[in-house]
Amino acid sequence: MSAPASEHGPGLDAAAPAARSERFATLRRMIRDPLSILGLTLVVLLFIGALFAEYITPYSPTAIDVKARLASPSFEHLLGTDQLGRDTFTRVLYGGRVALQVAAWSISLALSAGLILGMLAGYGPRWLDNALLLLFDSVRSFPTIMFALAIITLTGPSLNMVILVIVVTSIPVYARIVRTQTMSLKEQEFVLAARALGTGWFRILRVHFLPNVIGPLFILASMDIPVVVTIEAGLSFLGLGVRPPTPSWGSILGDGYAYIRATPWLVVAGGVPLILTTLGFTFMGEALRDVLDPRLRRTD
Amino acid sequence: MSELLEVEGLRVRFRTSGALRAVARREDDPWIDAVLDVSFRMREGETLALVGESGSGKTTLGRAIIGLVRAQSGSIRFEGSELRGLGDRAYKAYRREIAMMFQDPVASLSPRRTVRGQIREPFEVHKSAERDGEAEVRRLMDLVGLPHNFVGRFPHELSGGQARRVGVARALALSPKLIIADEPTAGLDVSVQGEVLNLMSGLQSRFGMSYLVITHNLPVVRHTSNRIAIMYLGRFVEQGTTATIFRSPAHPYTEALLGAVPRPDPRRRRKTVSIEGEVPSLKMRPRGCEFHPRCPYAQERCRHETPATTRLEEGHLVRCHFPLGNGHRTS
Repeated sequence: MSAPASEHGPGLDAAAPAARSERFATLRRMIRDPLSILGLTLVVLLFIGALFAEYITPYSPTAIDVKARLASPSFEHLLGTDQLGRDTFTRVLYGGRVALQVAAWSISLALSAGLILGMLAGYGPRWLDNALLLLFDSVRSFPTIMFALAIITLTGPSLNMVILVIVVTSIPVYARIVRTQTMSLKEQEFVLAARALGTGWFRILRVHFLPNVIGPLFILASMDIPVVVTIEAGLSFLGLGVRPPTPSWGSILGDGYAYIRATPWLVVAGGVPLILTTLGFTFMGEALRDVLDPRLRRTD
Repeated sequence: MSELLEVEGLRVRFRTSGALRAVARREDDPWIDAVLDVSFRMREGETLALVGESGSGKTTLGRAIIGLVRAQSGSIRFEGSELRGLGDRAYKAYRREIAMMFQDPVASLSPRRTVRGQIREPFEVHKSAERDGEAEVRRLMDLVGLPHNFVGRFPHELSGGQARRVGVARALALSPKLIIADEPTAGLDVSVQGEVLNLMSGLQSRFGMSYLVITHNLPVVRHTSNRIAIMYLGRFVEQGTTATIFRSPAHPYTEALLGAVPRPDPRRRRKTVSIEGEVPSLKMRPRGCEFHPRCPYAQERCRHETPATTRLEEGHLVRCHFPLGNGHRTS
């Protein structure tokens, strides 16, 4: 058969290498925006600080040095020390570790559960959708902090409880987004085409829907990380999060609040990382959105 | 040539409102018939065109054959085995033999998969990985005339005609015996339409599969199909060979459809038969002959009596009390 390929002009062959370097092009586009650079830098710094805390600082976060208590910043103690003489900079680094741990666990658990439940609600039969929606809405109707306080009062403060509370309350948010996306995809012709080929529902969800719904979800998750970090800090501030010797930005803030008359540095040390984390992940989320959503992608 | 597909008295119904609501509103009949009492046969290697206006049920009929829509009654036999009422699992075996191309060339491709993924999908679904996947993709792309450097493209990076070629390649992948093509030329400009039609008939003469072409566009089917069936409100009003239908249409609706096709001949003064009004709602089918409110030749009998399918000559069936050519046109 002679290939009737007259509609592909010669220009299309030139477009092939462009498609190959598209991955780099999106990266380059991301780099072009100064805010996303700022976001990326902050996030990378946060990760480095948390992961390599042992190598960055010579102190232990729990080593008490009563002689040097409530010291102001110096070359010895970059952010000063707290009421027990522990190095605040060290505690901020290790506190970032707790914050990221909580964020990583709770977001990834909530994301996977929300993804599965949302796709089932959106693609499954009507009764399943209604049942899951009822469940989502009931969970959503608890105020997060009240729910967390109630649970922690019952079980006692621990990191795992904080994670559990965050997971339970954020599953419905993700699930609802996934459900809406799934429902709009379900109406499209490619689903019929896949079914006409004999594709089963599981494969339709896994191969055809997942890549479409996961992009927006990552963006949302990235923007949710600061929220989770502040919830953890808030609970730790109230003494309901991590147990005392373990450093957390919330407990540093709490100590700073108690000793505000003695030194302002503890409050600064606990508060600034929270602000920077929020800014970092928000800017990164926006940059991710521009990169991951091909419909917003400009073809320049 | 043996019978490939036999459809007998097929009926597809849709519920217009929920069961509870129907009771509450005291509707006698919450159902509408999208396809009603349709019978036809297709032979191997044959092209049958389903022609009708929007809403005539042609797409529903195509989807019922491949099992995407449940048919309430009647039978669909493919190579002698009954397909109606089969579950998804049992249907899967026949989905190797029957492929479908959908109306919108781009939207019928999975948005986040590359051309390679789209073409491989049938192999992955039917676990026929024994053949070399990459070579198969290249072979199919050659068949439909797509350059190899398109394998990594996403649907939104394809033109309508290119996406249509991917659709054809995907339909061809498992060497089906029947391809149901729903508006294969929709949304393409005229030169690309021609290319797609030539491609499809070229592939047919090479592999000998049958096509069920669903379209509202008579010129499209004139040169590509062996037989034509005209649908109106879910029924076949006329079916016959393409030559017969174009030479001597027997149903007034067919005549009007043909009259609506422009002919590039300035000297020719044709009697234009216009159809007045809109397609009636499926919820309120006209009594008697369903075409009578719009039929220029309607008579008293048409208002009361539903016409039966009559055979004018071998293979030419019409559902009309007064078929054209030997009825009222002379009077």
